[in-house]
Amino acid sequence: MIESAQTKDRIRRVLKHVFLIIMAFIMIVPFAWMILTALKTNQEAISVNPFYIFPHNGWHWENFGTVWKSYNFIVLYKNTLLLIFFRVVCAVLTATMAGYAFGRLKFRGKSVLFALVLIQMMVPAQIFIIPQFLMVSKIGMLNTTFGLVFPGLVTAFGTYLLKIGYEGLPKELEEAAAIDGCNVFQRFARILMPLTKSSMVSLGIFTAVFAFKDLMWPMIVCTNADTTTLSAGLAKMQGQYGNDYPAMMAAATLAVVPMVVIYVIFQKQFVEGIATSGGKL
Amino acid sequence: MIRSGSFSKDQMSRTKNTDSKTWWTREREKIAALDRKGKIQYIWNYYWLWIVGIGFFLVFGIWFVWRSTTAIRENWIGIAFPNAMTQAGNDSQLWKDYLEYTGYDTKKKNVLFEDKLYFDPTRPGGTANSYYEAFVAMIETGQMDAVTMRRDEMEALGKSGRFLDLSAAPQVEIYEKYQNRLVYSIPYDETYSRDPVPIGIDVSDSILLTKYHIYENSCVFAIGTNSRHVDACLEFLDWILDGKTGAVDAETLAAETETELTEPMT
Repeated sequence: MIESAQTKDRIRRVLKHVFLIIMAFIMIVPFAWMILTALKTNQEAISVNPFYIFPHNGWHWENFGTVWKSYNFIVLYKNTLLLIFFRVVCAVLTATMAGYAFGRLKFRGKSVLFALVLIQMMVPAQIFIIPQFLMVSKIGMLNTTFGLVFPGLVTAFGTYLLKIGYEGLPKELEEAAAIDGCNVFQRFARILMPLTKSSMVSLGIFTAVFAFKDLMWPMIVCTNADTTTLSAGLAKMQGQYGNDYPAMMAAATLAVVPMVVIYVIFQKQFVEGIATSGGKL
Repeated sequence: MIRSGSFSKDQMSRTKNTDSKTWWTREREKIAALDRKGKIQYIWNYYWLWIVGIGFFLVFGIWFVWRSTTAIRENWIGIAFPNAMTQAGNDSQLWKDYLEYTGYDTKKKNVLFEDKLYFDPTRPGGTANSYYEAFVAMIETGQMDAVTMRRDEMEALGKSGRFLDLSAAPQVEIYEKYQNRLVYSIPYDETYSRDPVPIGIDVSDSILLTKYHIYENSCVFAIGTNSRHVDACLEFLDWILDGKTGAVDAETLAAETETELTEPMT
């Protein structure tokens, strides 16, 4: 009886692991394919046999060098990191203040204003592209970091996320601070804001990933190679290296490096952030 | 008036008093009692965030004012070259030669040539990508005044109504001058027209193909409906056609049709 239960349990565990291995394999194969294609010759890369995954004619590390020399990756990395940094700082700063106002303060027109925030979340981002582009263009900020960061200065999603975070905190904390003589800003900055750290980290992670992946906006506002980001730079390579798949894959491999580094450093926060917000990246 | 959760007016006013007067007086007294080094240490320890924040906004504000007053906002012309086969963007040979021809001063206004756009309006789903969205933003905002594309692509793209109807009254001169080269497209908007509308000018014999090899076989030039530089577009057209105003060479068109029909699908 006990043996039978143990066998069932073992089979269940084996099946679970087989399933997880298959899933992990499905997730890893595209990345492995990208890196291995980057090390092939073009002829090998366009071979249609899907099992022809490893380079047969030697490992062509020079593909990375060729792409590195052709495209100024230092500038692309710099622009992307600046974009991520400023978007994260601006989004967290504005969302945490707006979230506190919507979550804890009472003022006239609060519901209407919050409804406006929610409406912004409900419409596709593409709708804002043309007005935002015109604004950036009119103030002469095309081809600048500010132009890149501009649509991420405020975030409706972040405001909503932080509002929920502030609403979940006990009122007594704020009341005690007020009795001790804290004004509204002090109660926000010194008492409540530190308690919403996990929500802020979630928002920071979401913002960073979306900023890294953002393609359309950098393509529109940054027409100069000196001001563009990795995603847009990579997209433009698609045309230049349209038939040179190893070069494209080498560029793609180089492009994911910053995100991998960020992930390795903030692995714990990434997992916590996703668990907190219940979202997917 | 901003009011927090469950505080009475009395509590709030007490808090306000504490906010400004008492706090400020206390801080001043504290700082005054310290020696010079202590003052710096105290201010930095307690207000470093404010100092950094205000410093950042000051620097940013100065840069913002400088940039927005000195940036070149206007364009002489903007032309998009979607699906170009060679370099046709800014700093390309085409761009340099055009500047030399027109004598445009790029320190006063921009000359924008955009060649990093790849989409296929001839097949369903061929425009479902960021390149196309970027293209739409550029043409809708008037950032790009004109577009050149392969003939079949332009015919498909022309249905969107984003290009000037060359048969409309303001474009009558263009219509008459290039009537042997017009390329037609039936708009999606049936209320506008159910008949083919002239939206482009065939430039398959232009230097874009013969000298710069930006396209193969066929090429059509169209002007965006929101273009603010139609005259500059016509000047560009004259330049690429190099004085040719008659019909497109029949052999060129026949060759391109043949090639397109005989080429295997990739």
